[in-house]
Amino acid sequence: MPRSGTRQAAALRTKQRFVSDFGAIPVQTILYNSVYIPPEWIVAHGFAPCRLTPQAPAQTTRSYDGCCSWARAFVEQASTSKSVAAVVVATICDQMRRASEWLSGDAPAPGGAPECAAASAAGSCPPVMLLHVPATWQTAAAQRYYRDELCRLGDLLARLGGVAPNPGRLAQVMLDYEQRREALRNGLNDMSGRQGAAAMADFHGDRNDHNEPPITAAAAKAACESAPTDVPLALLGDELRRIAQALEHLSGQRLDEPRLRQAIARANAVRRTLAELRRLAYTADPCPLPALEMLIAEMLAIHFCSDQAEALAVLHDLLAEVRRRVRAGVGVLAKGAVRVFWVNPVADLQVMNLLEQAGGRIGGADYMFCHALEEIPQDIEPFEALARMALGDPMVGPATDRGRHICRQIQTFASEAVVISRILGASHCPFEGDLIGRMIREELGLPVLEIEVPPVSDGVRPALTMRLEALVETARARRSS
Amino acid sequence: MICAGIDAGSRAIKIVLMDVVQGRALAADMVDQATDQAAHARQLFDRLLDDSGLAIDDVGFIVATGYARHLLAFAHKTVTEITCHARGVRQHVPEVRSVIEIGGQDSKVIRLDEQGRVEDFTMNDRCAAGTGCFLELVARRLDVDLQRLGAMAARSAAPATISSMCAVFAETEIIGLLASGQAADDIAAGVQRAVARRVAAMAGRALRQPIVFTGGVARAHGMADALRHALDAPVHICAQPQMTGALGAALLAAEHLRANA
Repeated sequence: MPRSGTRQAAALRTKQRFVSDFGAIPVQTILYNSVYIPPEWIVAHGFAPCRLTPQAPAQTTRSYDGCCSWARAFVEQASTSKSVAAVVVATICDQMRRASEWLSGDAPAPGGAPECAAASAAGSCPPVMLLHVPATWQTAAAQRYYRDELCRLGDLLARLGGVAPNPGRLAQVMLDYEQRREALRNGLNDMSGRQGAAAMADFHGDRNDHNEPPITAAAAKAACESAPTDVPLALLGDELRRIAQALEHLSGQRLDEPRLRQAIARANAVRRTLAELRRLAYTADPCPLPALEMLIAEMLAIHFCSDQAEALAVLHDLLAEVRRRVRAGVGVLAKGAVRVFWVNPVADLQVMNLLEQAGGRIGGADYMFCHALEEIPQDIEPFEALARMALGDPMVGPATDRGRHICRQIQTFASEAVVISRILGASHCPFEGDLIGRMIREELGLPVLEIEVPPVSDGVRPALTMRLEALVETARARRSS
Repeated sequence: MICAGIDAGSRAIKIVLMDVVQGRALAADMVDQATDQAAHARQLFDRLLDDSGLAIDDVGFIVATGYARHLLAFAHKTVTEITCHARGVRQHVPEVRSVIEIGGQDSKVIRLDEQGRVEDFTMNDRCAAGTGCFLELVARRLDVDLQRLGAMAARSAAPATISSMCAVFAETEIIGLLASGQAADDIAAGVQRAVARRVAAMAGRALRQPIVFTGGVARAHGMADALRHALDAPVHICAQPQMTGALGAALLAAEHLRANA
């Protein structure tokens, strides 16, 4: 990634400011893996923090059983980095926990004798600390636990030659970081999801080579346009190959490229049929297919009811029937029903019937598996094609990406109103639903109803019915404007 | 020609009789809701007709709204409270752009376009915290009625902080505040502010003005001030706030009759 001289100079000034109080202490790097490890704590002790982000799959013949591509690449790159004082790994997932064990040489040698374990025994591998992150921040005990872990990290840094900061020094570093965070937050408003991710990565000093100076958030916005996109693809492709190997092992059948291409072609046949079915079912008036049947049909895209050929046959028959109804001008609901775009699946399918009873119909839907409705590229290597599809899933990126995708779908189907159905117990729903609702209101000016659908009991039904009827009434009233 | 609007709400049944030709309300009244909502609504309707010297045959069209609207078999059409409150408020304040309605069972924020049509709305989820039901619960806990709760709140110089967004937890908080000797006036004011904060959060973004406050809770002294404080915007109380749903239903009934005359 290109760096301008001005940016480099500014970055170096920042770095020097952090360490200048320590005079003789050389700036050594602490590699870490997670935002739960505060870089200001490391800086305040006189070290340069660097969140290690693997930039390529591990190039090794060594076997890491049960280790994902990310953790494997992390271990490989951390163990070959130069001038590293220590590696700090947060317990954010089991894979990284294992990574820390491999790095520290505590784990049983995976597939032989790992170089790092040997190096650690010889004293050439930097110390590795596993920082335990509490599963919740809601209790005082969890906060004490986290504070104690930070003290433990402080002890390690002191043993490595760092100086425990006094409160004034720590406050100064924290304030500096807070100002930079504020600048980052402000900058994020004008960035796409991808640009934002790049800017945040740079804020945390994500590097493959920690000797590179950090860049600013604003610079990241421009730089990420030219950033390589093949790294996550390669990492994910690697994982998919591992899955293929496991499937081969379990089934005793070879899953070679021609076979995989054949399976992709069959999946695409299902998706093409569904695309046409969606176009007709969501736009024809009167509505040719009830909401529930259409939902079940869409779900064939993700599981084929365990029989791809049968699923395709059923879809073909359904499409033929829908075409017949559209040609004949007959439907299952009254003509002119309000086209409602439905976001997220519901816990109780009865609510779809309530919408139809209220005078609405499904006129577009994102049941959280829209990635399975897009055709998979057939003109590239199959594992890369599958990885591209997975990374292109709107559910993978930030909520704004999903919101934009939903807005495009709403425009495609010319939906008149939107229901965002929160999933009970899904903690992301209130945040994501609010954000998507705001995007739809501001960009498309459509009425949006957010509901949380529990199992529809008699007590819940009137309130739910009233909301759906009000949405339909509102959309109808807008037709005349 | 006469038409009627009936708002069979969760706390009270309200009816407005309207002269379609003159476009004015002839009679209006309300009764507390009870178990047999349909029978209570019918009794009130018959009494209003009697008092006005009218018979059922004189009534050309009846629109029912409110929680129990589908139970009123003698109504010709049902319309949701969203549309009815918006229409009723618009009759009093034609330039209204945002309606806040806090009723016994739920609370609503309704946004209207320049023509006065409902553009969008937001309602509380299945939670009592931003509703009149919550205020009633607190009033019972403080051993006063709803109107007196408002008067108490008006006397407070230092409203208590009620942080819970859940009615059940908020009640627990109130018990704690009472046990610690907090003045009941301050608790009442704190509760009003908590309800207002909840509604403001539900509104989500800056509401277009003028903002009009309606529904039964609008009658409670101090609630409009609490909303002004939470929204940081002027909030007007609608005339006869408890009747706007029924008035809107009657106006929609009149429009139906005129359109089909």
